[in-house]
Amino acid sequence: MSKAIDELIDGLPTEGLTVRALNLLDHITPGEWQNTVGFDNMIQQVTGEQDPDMVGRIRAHALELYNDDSQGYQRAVSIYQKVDDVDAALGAAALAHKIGEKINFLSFLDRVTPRQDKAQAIDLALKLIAESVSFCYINGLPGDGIGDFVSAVEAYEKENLIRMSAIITFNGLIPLGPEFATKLVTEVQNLDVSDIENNRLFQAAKDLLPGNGVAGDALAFINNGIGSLESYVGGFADKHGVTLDGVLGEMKGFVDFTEDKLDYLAAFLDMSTNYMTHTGVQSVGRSLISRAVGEI
Amino acid sequence: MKKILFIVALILVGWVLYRTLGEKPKEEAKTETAVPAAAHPVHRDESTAGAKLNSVFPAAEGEYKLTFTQEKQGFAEAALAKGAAKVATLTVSDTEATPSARDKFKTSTKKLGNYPVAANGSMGTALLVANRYQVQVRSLAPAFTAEERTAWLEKFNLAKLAEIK
Repeated sequence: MSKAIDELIDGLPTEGLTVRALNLLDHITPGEWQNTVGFDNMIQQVTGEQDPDMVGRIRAHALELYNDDSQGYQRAVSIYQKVDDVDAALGAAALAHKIGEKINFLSFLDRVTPRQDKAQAIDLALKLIAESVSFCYINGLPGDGIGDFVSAVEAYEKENLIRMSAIITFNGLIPLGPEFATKLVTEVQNLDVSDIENNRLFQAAKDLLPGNGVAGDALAFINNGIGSLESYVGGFADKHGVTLDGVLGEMKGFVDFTEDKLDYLAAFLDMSTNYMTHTGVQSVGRSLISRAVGEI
Repeated sequence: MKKILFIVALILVGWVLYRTLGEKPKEEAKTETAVPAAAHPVHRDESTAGAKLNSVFPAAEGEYKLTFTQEKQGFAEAALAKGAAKVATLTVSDTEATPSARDKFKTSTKKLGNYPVAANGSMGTALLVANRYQVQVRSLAPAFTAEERTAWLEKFNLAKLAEIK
């Protein structure tokens, strides 16, 4: 049974590897992300309302909207969770750490299996698709035409922007290197149906992604979508000043690693963070609250 | 060029998603939570499509920019920015799904044209059109005043909204 959105936001951690990794990205693109924890706190931040009665009414309507599964919010959370859960193998307990402590990455090396470029590229592709689909479940298709819809996505900020940065950094730049966008497209063009069928991320999230669980349909979608997204994805890092050196420099502040083991580092980050769910739940909460106060 | 490619991708995503959304409910876990039972019936399916509501939003001029941010059944939302800073949220909602939203207008003495106006919390000003559509402007910072909220409410095409069935 999945949790209600207030429980999810109340339960978000304020420290740990996920928060540390997201803060690292916020260092690089300053001021974009605050780790907003607590549903009432988020209501106050989003609406500017402090009166307990008003906050309570917004809360009640937001929960009502979330609980109506036809509204798409639960589905978006499910996508984020499934995309993250695949790699939770190291377990939160093993990695709980406090700010200031440094993870001895080498001690996990025997438990981490790096993946080939092809598998990394599929993961990156599926995360980008998952993000686009979740956006639509949360916000619909805003505006009157594609121009308005694009404006809405280009206006990504806060949790949305930091999550996109995380996808591109942790699933693109670190495992695939600075040419990750080109590699992504090359790998995706050469995929066949069995590559998708065997991908653990596809297995986990296939019922929630376009294609209705059919690998061939999903592959066609990925091929078209990623071909078109190449420039956006490649340009994103430049636009936001995200560089491999910059990321690794920041990361050395809390993880011990060597630069000849970046594929291990990428796998380690996948296994030890749940950044999609963490920021995804915050995005859902923000949109939900904004709508709730508009409707009451 | 990048923009065009991105647009193509998004059209694709949107189209497939819409196709998928229209089909079969999945057997995903239903959320059970201690939410108080709704104090009013929800007729969301009968409410007006968000796309119809978009057309009554004001045009942004000069240093102002309007970006649509949400569109759901019976609800449309846009962010208003002045220069680079977001200053307000503009929404239209169909109160068929949330009739209790009409209550605050019953005691309202203020009107804009023929439409009753009421505060919604400390940061929002709302009016009710045709006893059905709530139009609201909410400040994202206190610097965007109640007077400015009212001024932006007036910019909506309220007469057109009143005609939407």
